[in-house]
Amino acid sequence: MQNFADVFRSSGYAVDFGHFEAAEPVLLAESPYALVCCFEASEWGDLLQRVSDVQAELTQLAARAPSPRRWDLYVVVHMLTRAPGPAEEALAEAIEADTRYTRKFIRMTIPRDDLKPLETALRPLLPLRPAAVFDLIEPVEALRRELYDLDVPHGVADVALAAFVQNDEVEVP
Amino acid sequence: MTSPRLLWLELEAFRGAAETLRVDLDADVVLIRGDNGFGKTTVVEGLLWLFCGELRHLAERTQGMRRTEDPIVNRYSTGPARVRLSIDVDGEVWEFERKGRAAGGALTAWTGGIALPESESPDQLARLFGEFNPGSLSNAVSTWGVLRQDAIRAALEGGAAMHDRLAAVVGLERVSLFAESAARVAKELAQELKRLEVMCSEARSKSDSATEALGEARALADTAPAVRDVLQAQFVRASASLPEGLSLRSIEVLTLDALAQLISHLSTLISAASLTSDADREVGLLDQASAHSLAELESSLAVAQQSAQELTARSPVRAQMATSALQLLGPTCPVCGQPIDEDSIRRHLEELLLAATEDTQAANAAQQAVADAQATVADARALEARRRTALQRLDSATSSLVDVVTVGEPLLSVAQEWVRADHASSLLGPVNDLLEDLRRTHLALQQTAGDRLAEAEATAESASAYLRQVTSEFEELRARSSRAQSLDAAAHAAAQRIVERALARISPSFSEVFDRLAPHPTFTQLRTRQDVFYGRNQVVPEVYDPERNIAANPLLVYSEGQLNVVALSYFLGLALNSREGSLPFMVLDDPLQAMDVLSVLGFADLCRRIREQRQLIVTTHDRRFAEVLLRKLAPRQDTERTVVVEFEGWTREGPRIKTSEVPLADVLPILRERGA
Repeated sequence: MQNFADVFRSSGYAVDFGHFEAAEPVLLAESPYALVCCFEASEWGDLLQRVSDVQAELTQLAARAPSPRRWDLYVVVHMLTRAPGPAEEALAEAIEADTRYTRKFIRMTIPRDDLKPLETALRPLLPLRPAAVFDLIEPVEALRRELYDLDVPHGVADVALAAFVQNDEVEVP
Repeated sequence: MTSPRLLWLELEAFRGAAETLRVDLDADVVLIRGDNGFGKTTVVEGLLWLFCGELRHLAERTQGMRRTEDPIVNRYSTGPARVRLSIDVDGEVWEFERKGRAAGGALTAWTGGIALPESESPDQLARLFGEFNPGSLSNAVSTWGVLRQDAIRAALEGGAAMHDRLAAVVGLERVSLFAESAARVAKELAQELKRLEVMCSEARSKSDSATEALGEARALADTAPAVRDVLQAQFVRASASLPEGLSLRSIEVLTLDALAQLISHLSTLISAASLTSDADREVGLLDQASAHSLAELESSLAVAQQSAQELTARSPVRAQMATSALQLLGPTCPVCGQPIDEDSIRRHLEELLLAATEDTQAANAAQQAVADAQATVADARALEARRRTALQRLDSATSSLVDVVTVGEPLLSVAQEWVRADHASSLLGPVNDLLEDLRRTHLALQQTAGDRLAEAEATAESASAYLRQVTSEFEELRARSSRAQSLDAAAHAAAQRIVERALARISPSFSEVFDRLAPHPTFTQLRTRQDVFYGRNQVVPEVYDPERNIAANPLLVYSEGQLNVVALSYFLGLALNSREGSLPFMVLDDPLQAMDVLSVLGFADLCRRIREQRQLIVTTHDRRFAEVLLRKLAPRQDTERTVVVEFEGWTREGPRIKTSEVPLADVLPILRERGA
């Protein structure tokens, strides 16, 4: 759960480990928009019940401070074992589809040694990452390099590109 | 707060708004909600028209209709349509108004109550939004500024269009433009080549025809009825005037060439006959000149020489003796001294001296006669030599004449009697007359045929020159077209490579959106794949199941709602990665269609994140989802503002709207209370 805490914290959440009766420990992460409760489980048999219990405790916690937060409660379950069969997969889907009280995410077997899969798993709750930074590509020079590389005679490529630079139209010598 | 920030939009006589309709946009989130047909899309289209100057999707819809069918101007007003947008740029308020019809609308800009010249307004609008020119602003707005309902799926289904959009996002529009221009040039050159090929074929055909016509002209010139008739008449007339043993043969087809050959033969015949005649005449003259045979003359010479020799030997002795005796003569004998008859002796001596003198004269005359005889003999010998030479020449000329007649000519018949030397001169007259006659005829006919031939030759030469010119141009163009084809292929490959590399870097942005909406339980990853289809670069959407390592085109495996999520992921991914300084707003026209609750919740959470970077304008017809969005997008901080524009209904005057502001939602921290 420490990885979870690190990811949430680095995304601007306030985080705290707490103790719920249904799960121990739980990670609580809070932002102006969301209150998230994360816990780990390995048994699929009582998953539905545990999620329901954690949801109830989270709802009670949020209700102590009357605010629109009640629309932004999330329960994230990290299953330490993969769904053994279709029934468990369907169970996970059903739990996620039930959006009453809280929104739920069932995530399975997230590696502990790499934060990227965890970030992907938690992405709905994280801020947008900065947009990819593109080096400024000079299109004409990029084209020239590629055309040379594609065995276009230099004379042909140069004339075509020069005309294109001048009047946006290719010329063929 | 983002800048520039859209403050309000005013519509009049535009699309669904007949009367003036002002929409408040001064918020970081504007939620426009209302039932279908109440005019929400009119607002989106108003923004598009103002920024782009056209509504391409409506123009496409009216294709095939009369020009009077104007999709821009409201049907309950006379127009022109008017859209005005107010923009705050770092505290300075600008207003832009586009006024006109579908055929064109002029843009005017104001700031501080001062209007800019109309020609400068579009550039000013582009500059405010960090674009190079009105064209690039239009491209940016339509690509990642405004997401129209019908454009969502179109982006997915049109791989080439998506490629172009991606190229634009990474600043590589010019790469695509270059490839398109190269393709255009290659196509134009190929068309030009085809045209020239047709011209070449026509020129070749014309040249062949001209050459054929030339041949025909030549043949016609020879065999034209008029020419033939003249020739035949000439032959008949000429044949009639020829002496016996000399005649012209009649043949089936008489041509100018045959006539030319006959003329040439007659010239040769005349030459040979003339030589023979001359030689024969010379021999005759020489025969006449030699009246005495050389032997007779030599015999006479010998006699004269004998006589002269005798006279010459006798005459000097007698004259000397008589002269000496006369000198010694006296009355006495000089020897014995006896008297002599001096007179008688003197007379006798004088008679002797006279006789001696006569002898001398005779001897001289004889010598002269010998000299004359010798000259005569010499002349005779020379004459004989000339005669022999003339005879040889006569033999040679006669032989040539025989050869000429023997070789013969198809049109001329010469009897053997004409081949004799003594007849040659008789042959000359009629043959010369015939030759002159035929020459005149040939010249006249050649002149007539020649005109036609010259014309045909000129035509043939002209056609041939044109063919050479066109062929040369064709070869040059073919080489150029080949270079253009290669360049086209290379340009596309280059664009593919460049955009592919950029695509690899932009793909995480799609995941950034897609992972939040997670529409599918197994195909959970979204990627893009570069492809070339029918020679055009395409970007193909692809979803991926990491558990089973299976990829699929979402169009084939996703539901409508899930596809909307994919399209939204691409659009937002592109918008969030558009170049720095680009559009500070994002307009989503009913993006929640067919989405399930989970996707809507995910989208709402996403909107919270987007509002941090862009002014967000969202329309929706779904009241339940609108409520979710409202709750989710209620401002949490003083700096945030959420406005709801409720489209309550629509009348002929236009939409009825009600604007309200979502109050700030105080969120009391829980963890802080817990001492976190």
